[in-house]
Amino acid sequence: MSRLVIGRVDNLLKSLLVFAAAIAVSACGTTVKVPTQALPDPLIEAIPLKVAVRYSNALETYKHQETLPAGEKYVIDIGSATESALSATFSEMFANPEFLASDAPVPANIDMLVDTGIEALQFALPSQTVTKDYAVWIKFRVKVYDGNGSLQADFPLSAYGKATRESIVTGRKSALTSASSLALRDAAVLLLTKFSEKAKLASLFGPQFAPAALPANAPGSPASEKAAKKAEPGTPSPTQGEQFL
Amino acid sequence: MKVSLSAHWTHLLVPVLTLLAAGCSTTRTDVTNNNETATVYGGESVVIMSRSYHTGNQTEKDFTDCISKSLDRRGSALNIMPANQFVDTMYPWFEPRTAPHNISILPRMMSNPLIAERMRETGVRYVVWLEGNTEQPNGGGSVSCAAGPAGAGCFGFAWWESISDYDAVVWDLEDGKEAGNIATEVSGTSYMPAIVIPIPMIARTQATACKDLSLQIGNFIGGRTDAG
Repeated sequence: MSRLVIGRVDNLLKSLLVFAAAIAVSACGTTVKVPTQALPDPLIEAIPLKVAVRYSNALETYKHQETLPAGEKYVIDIGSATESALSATFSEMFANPEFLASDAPVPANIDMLVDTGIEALQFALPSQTVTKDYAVWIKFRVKVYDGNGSLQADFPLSAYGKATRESIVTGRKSALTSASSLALRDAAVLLLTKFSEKAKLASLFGPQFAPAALPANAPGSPASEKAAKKAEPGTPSPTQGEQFL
Repeated sequence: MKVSLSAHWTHLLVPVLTLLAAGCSTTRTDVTNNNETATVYGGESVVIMSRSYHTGNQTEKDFTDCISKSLDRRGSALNIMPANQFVDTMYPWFEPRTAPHNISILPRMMSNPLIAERMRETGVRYVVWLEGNTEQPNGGGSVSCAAGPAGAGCFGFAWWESISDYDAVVWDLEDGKEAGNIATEVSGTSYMPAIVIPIPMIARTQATACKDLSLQIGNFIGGRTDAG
């Protein structure tokens, strides 16, 4: 009988040790690979310009690596998902855009060259926001050159995604992945709805390239800023990320 | 004999725990109807959306799903279009960043012929925007549990208050007006005494709010199979 009890205690201790080891290993680092996503067909009219697109900063292999003060290491492998999302978006924004290698010369017969890449990435964990939410901000740099290679516009795009942890044990990776995917989708939305205005297409190519009608609460509008400021303290918000970036 | 005794206890415990688990809660509901003819007809759909997380706290996904499922069970006359499907169909104009915050923005959106045409194709007549969430503002007490070779057990008493406060704003896309507003607030206190076994008596405020709000939305919008 006593052997049976000791055996059970041993098994219990072993189980506890395995569980503690699993927690320790998972606490050492978290790596997420953001999958490519199929974006819906956008309700926009393609901009009738001959455009080349070039990605900078080795976008396809971009990984964000960060070690938190507590020693926990995070790796967010988002490069290929970003290039896929941007390429799909530019293909909808323009008729037959030409995608160039990062070191390729600028073709002579184009109206415009768009050069973009990730400038910074920031994330927030539930322990930092005191919520169950993971948040990801991605700051893109977009440069627009005319057909002669002269820089015409240079602007940032700050995209934001937030996802709630559904499970304490397995929820960390999936929530961080979801937040990253939502941030990429937000970047695509920003390009689709704000590119014409930010790139000053109307002044470059004429009033027919004026931005499409946007709701008054579009990013940067007074309504949007007011709404973001109404968010409860601690709640991740798009503007909070822009401060970090 | 041992098996039948366990089964006997189980049969006794289940109804007792079920009774205990249903904590007390109080509900307050306000309905503002701006449009007496708010009715969805055959072929028209309703979509249940939660407010954008870009503007602050987002309504819990399980609450939005609960409302959608409750309304979907109401009958075939009330077609509920899944929010994800609607957002994808209207991409990129109902995204967290671009979805209109108030009804006054809608005419400007609809002036875009691509958006207006796609909206007609979806058959969506009403958009119900959900706001609010469930919070636990107060709580106290403690329950301690211990395990050893001789067994395990808990002792103590804990309690917490829950408030589920939700608003549903109904937009009539055909009229371009806010058809009405339904607000529900359910508050309750949960208790968990523990003498060897913890016995939670949960005030299911969110589930009650879902049941109440979906009933009110269903009554508000109705649902008819005739052509109107």
